[in-house]
Amino acid sequence: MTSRERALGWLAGLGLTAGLVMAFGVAPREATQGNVQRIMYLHVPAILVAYLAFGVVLVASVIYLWGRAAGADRLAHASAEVGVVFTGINIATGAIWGKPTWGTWWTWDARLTSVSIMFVIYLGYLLLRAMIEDRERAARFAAVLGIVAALDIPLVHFSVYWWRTLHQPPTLLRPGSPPMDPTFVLALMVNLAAFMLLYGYFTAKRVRLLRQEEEVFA
Amino acid sequence: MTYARRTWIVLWKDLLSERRSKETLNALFFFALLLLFLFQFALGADRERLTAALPGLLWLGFILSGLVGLGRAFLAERENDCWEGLLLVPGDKSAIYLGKVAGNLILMLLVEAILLVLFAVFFDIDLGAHPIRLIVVIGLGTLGFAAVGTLFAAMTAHVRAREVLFPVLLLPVQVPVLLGAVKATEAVLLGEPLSAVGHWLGLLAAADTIYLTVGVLTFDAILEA
Amino acid sequence: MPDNWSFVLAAYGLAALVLGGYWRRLLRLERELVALERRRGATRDEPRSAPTSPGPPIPRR
Repeated sequence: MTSRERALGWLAGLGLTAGLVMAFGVAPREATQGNVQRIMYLHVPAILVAYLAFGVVLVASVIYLWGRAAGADRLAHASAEVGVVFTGINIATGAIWGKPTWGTWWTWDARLTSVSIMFVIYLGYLLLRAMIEDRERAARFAAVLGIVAALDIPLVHFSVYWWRTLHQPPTLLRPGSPPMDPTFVLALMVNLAAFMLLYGYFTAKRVRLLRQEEEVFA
Repeated sequence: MTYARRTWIVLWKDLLSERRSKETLNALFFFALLLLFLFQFALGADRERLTAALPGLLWLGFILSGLVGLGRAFLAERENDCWEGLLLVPGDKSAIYLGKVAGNLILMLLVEAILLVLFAVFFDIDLGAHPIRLIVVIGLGTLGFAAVGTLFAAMTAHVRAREVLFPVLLLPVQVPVLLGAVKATEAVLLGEPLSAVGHWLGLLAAADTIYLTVGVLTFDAILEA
Repeated sequence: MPDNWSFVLAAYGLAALVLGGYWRRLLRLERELVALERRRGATRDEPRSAPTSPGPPIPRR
């Protein structure tokens, strides 16, 4: 284990602790939804970090196809895996949040649907990697799929959005909406930072393990 | 040999071998006929329900037969050990991709035409009110499907579990095309002008462009070895 | 509106479970790789470097 990785892990742990303190200690109880709204500090950062992860997959895939650097392939693999984990957390917490507020675990509203399609696409990505034995070929194919998948996300988003929508528009980035209580935003930002650190830690560790795996089985 | 000519040769080869063997087309014709039975069993004789579900059913039929057809896109090369032949084509390999896409597009459009006729006859539905609009919508949707399908078919051709992996990869990626095509077909069948579904057509065109561009740029990496 | 603390607890608990599970998976993979590496090293060129930590002896093949 490298010292940088260890430091990242401690930072992530610290950040998550701070995030919990912010979410439960500092941020006030939301007026209309009550304390159940505190799920947001988990739900929203998870999907933002997942988008970041899949963006990294796209960039790493392009770099791999360009210069065939094995490091870029490992980064894409690790990032996709962590992104899928975070997407799963987003979907699960969303369902748990939806039950008390909407009265149902699941509705086919636009953002739920598009995020779950994204989840399935990247599960397929990991499946493709797992099913090809030749490492170099797996890297090439996964890179192509990583590019198609990432470019598909906006298409999925728009198509599903036009198809049907119930979801409240994103509270944070809605222009002209009344500003949220700064403590809410601060708590959200702290949690986002913590999740990014966690993403960095997981990805760095996974990349190193993938490299070791290649060395051992070489 | 120019780029266009290499594309044409790949397309010509596929069309010729299909015309001689009619392997895929015959199977797909029967498959389409069977789908008709399945839809009928699933929905019953209620005409209202059938008409409401028609655009979705139509595209479900296109997609299912497309999956079967596209899954065989690189079968000949793989089984007859001609993969090396593809690799040895001089110059830009994306010409092969475009030729394959064109071949698959033609095959899918043929099957879709058959399906449309079958639907019109057996479900007594008037599909001929706005033929041009219908052709535009179906063409845009099918092109997107063929573009990604060809790319993924080449990708999964060497994977052991390709029969499973191919649809599992292709279907979620095709959600935008499917939604857009179904919605636009619905509008056309209701007699609305194309401008009413302009945003969907824009989305389909954008998807087609993106898929084809990515396919052309990355096919080299898939074909290697 | 009621607070629904049980749902909050469930959400955070589930997230902790998933993240912890992934973390443990990575740690297990790491342990396996280290063990495998040592075994390889041991069979290839006899004692390449004696394990510095007095951990449990790794069975040699």
